[in-house]
Order: sequence, then C-alpha cells, then structure tokens
Amino acid sequence: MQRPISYITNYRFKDVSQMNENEMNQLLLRKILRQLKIDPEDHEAQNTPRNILMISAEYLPKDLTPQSLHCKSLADGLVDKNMNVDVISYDPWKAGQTVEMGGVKVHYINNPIKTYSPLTWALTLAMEINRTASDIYHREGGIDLIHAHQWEMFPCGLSLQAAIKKPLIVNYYSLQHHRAPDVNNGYTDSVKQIEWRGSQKSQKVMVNEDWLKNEIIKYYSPEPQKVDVVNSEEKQWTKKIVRDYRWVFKNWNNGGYEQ
Amino acid sequence: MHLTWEFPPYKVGGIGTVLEDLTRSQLSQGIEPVVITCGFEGKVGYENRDGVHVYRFDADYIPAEDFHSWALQMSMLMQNKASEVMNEHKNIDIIHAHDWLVATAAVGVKHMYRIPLVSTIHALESGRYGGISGDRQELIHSLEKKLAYESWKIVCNSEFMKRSISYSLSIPHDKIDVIPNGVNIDKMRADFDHGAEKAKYALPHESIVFYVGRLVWEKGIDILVGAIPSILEKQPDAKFVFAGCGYMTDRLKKQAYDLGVADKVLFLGFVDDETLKRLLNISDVMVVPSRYEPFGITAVEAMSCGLPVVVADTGGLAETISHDIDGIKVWPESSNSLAWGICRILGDHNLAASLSENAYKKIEKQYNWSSISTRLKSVYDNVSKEYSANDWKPSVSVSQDG
Repeated sequence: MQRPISYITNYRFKDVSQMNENEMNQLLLRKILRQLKIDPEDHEAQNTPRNILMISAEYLPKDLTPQSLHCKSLADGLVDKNMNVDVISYDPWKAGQTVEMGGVKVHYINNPIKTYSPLTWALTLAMEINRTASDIYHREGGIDLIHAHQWEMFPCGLSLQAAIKKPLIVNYYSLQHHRAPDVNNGYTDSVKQIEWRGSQKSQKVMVNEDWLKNEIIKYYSPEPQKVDVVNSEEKQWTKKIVRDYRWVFKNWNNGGYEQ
Repeated sequence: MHLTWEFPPYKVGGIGTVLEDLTRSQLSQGIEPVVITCGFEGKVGYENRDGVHVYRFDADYIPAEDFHSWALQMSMLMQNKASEVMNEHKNIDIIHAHDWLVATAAVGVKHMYRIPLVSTIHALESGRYGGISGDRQELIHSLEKKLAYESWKIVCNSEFMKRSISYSLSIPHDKIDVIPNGVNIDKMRADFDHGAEKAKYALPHESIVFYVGRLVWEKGIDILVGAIPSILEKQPDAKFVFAGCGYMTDRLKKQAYDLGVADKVLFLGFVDDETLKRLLNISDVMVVPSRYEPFGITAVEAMSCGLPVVVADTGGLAETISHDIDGIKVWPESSNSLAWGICRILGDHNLAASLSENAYKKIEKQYNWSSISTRLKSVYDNVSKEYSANDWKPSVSVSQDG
C-alpha cells in the first residue's frame, strides 16, 4: 500500500551522519518527491491518485478511432501530470507484451475464448483483463483509480472496483440506443443494461459532448452532477480530467461513496 | 468458496443436490464452506443453511439473446458478489468452481485475490452433444478449456470423465483427481403407504419401470421408449413412469403414441425431492439409458433405495455398476439390449433381490459423503501446500487496501 505522504517527517535540519536507516529513507523519499515537484505537505497532492489503470479495447496505434485517440491523448496527458498510467488494451498480435510508449505502459491482451458476438467477447475478455490488472496491482505498486472506456469494459471495470475497492470512472463514446435505434431484442437489452449499470455503479461518468450527457441522463438517469463533459479538443482538457480524478479520489478516501 | 449457478432450493441438473450434500459433509471436516449462487424470485442475500454460508445475488432480470450470454452476464454478477464476500470473509483459502457457467467469475476472483482455484467439471460440452459444432458450443468448449487451464487441480467424478477431460481439453492426467459423487442414504429413506403411492401411477398388478432425468438427447430416453413394445410383449404388466422435463418431451410423447404404447407411459414432468424419493421406493426397476453420462447420480440414488438398475454400458455408469452383481449393463444405443435387461429383472424376482442387496451394500461402502469429502479435503490440502511453497501470492490483502 502506498504510504501517505503526510507521514513523512521533516528531517531537513538533522545531521545526515546521525540519521538511522529509517530517517535516511525518509530523506531520500523527500528528495524524490521534490524532484517530482510534489510538496510533501501539499494536501492536494495527497488527494491525487498516482496510479491510474485505463482499460480500453481500442488504443493507438492498432485502432484509429475517436476512442483510441482520446485514450492515447489522455494517457499521455496524465503522464505529463506525473501520474503512472497503465493501459490494458486488446491486440491479438501483441498479446502478452507490455510496451512503454512515452511513459505509458500499454499491456496487450488477447481473448482465448471463441465468441460469437461483441457481448460474449467483452464478457469473456474480462478474464484476461483481470489477470493483467492483478499483475499490475500485486506486482507493480497498486492501482488508485480505474478508468473504463466504452460499455465493453464496464463489466470488468465494475468487477475490478468490487475486488480492489477503488473508484471507477466510466467513459461513454456512444450509446446502444443510438447504435441500434428501435431494436428490441435480448442482445441490445443486455448492452443497455451494462451501460445502465456503468452509469449507476461508477463514481463519475465522462462524455465528450453535452448532447451525449443529456442522452445518458435521459436513458439511464445517473445524477446529473455525476456526468462531466470532457472534450479532448479543448485546451487543458487533461487538467479538467485530473481535477475530476482528484475529486473522485478524495471523496472515495473520505467515504463519500457507498463502497 | 464454492461458485455454482444452482443450489437448493433452486435446482436444474444434479450440481445443486450434489453441492448441498457435499457442503454439509465438509462442515464435519473442519471446513467452513461458503457458497455463491444465483438468487431467483427475489430470494437474494445471505442464508445460513445448516451451517453453510450461502450468498445469493439477484439473477432474476438478466436480459439475454440466449442462455450462453445469460450465463456470462450471470457470471460477472457472481464475480462481484464473490469479491464482496471475499472482502467480508478474509479467510477463504480455496475457490472451488463448478462447471463452465461460472468460469469467468472463478478466473477473475482467482487472479484478483491470488487464491488457488480448484474446479469440478461435472460434464463436458463435447459429451453432451457428441462433439463440438457451432459457435455456441465452441464458446462453452473454450470456456471449459480456460477453466481447466486456470485451475490448480481439476476434480471429476469418474475415470471416464478423467480421460474425456484429458483428451478433450488437453489437460495432463496428473492434474485431474477422480472423486465420485455420493448419496445421502438416510435422506433417501421414506416412510409412507406404498400401495396408496403406487396407485397414483400404476395399477396394483403393474410393475413400474422408472426413469428420472432430463428429457434430452444425451440421456437416451428415446432408446427406452423404443424398447417399450418389446418389453410389453414379454412383460405386459409393465408401466413406464418418466420424471423430468426437457426439449424432447413432445417428441417422446409422439414416439410413444406412434409405437402404440402411449397408454403405458406416464410423463410426470419435474418432480420434487419427496415425490422422487417415494417413486424410487415403489418402482420395480430403474433404467438409465444414457448415451453420455459422466457419472450417473440417478443410478446411485436408486441403488441406495434398494432398487435394481439397468444401465447403458457407457461413461461413469460403466464404472459404477458391476454387471450381474449389483445391476445390469446393456449395450448403449440399443433398444433391444435395453429390453432384454429390463425383462430379466421384471421376470426374475430372485435376481432383482440379489442385485438390489448388493447395490445397497456397495453404495453404503463406497458412495457415502463422509469418505468423499475426506478425499476432497485431501485435494484441498495438497493444493494449499503447493500454494504455500509458491511465490504466486497477493502483494497486499486486496480487501485491506482501500
């Protein structure tokens, strides 16, 4: 578990030769934090999630879609804000590899299950996402916040949230109501239920335009203040996302959400 | 922690019944069983069922295009419930999954908590339909493969299943342990008026030939219906009583009608435990004509009631029954052979008595839950021992973080 920064004692004026091992470590940690431009006494920094897990089926360079562009820009932007970003994405050709791209660690997975629909694909891919997320969680220093992109990743995002008890943010790029208008069958109902569950069980909903925000509120009724519009074409949009992350993280740590 | 989609009072196949008896007997082994299962008709939440912790999640409204996608969505909800329970019970040592329906939940929980997974494969998709064809079957087959791959140990209920799992899922033999299903003999005893009960199904002079199970292709019930005319030629007082339901019900009724024996066949549909127990006690012979049978719990239940059995020489049934000693084995897929076996029992009371006596002794000795749960506990102990020596562990307690 990451140690809260506020625990670090101020040894600034003590003679180094008289320090014990613990005090030396504290001093070293303080220097590292200073290099990362984090003030140890900064309460805002304490409320900023450091380790972000993004799960998205689409990611650059494999996919060239609004979702993949958004995810790539977001991941890069978060790294610029000194966050550790792990992305789990689907690429059968690179499955099993972790590629570091500009500070972002991208973990590629494949789905070993033979599926016959996007729904069965998404629900079975969750096993590999869990396995990879578990490696990140247990080996690489934890996960502070989960950001799931589009409905295919919501079931897995929710199961990760339930296991590691960390806040979940869901990102919508479109809705099943628009992808298959006037279609009523078991498949579309399933996807709609997943989209609904994502909007209800997550701590924050993100969309890229006001119209989509209104549609989500119309169809799935999340609390309106829970839905944020973040357009990646706007200036300093990642700053806005970091602000949302902080807000969610702070509320989560203060018990502001039902956990 | 057992993950199962069916658990009493909700039952579909045999898994629920087997698990109820298994978990109860595990209590006496010093194991504290926790069961995560579906809740229907609003029956959700926690239940302490005779000492077994049962947690049910809401599976009432899961929209789906078919059973397969329903099962996958159910499994995701199960994983969430299991995580919730894992965070509550911090002393779970083993996750025990039952069949492909819970594969995604089992694999997910295993990795997130880094706790070893043991799976019982009760049946294989390749066996249910005599092969794998079509995308739905491919899905189940690959889920079975994944579950087997992710499991520390696989448990199955017969040597036949061990060979099938090894061959069909490419799993090494030493990863698979054979532990048969058991039967609770005390539970099968019933005190009631046999004459009055028999009168519900047959005339006093008639002999009841009984079948219980799903009315589906793999169970070979059409082979039994096909044997009825030959049986009636030699034993005109035979009456055929079938308990269970399935997609072949209408087809079987038509088959009986076409053969001119519809008046001699009674389709009861689904029967509750008490009715089943009584039927096993009033019948004259039990028939298990399966094409595919991983174990054949219905034959074992019949034997525990002292009912002579005629079984197809297939799958786990071939191992359970010793021909002419505690039952009669006939050629699979053969109505003539089946008719021969049934007529032998109906026409020879001494043989029937000897078979039922030997069968009862065998069940009492080999298929009691106490010895079965001891064997399962030894599997758990071995897995725990190997796990302790392994470096695959959680870095922090998942539930402690956050």
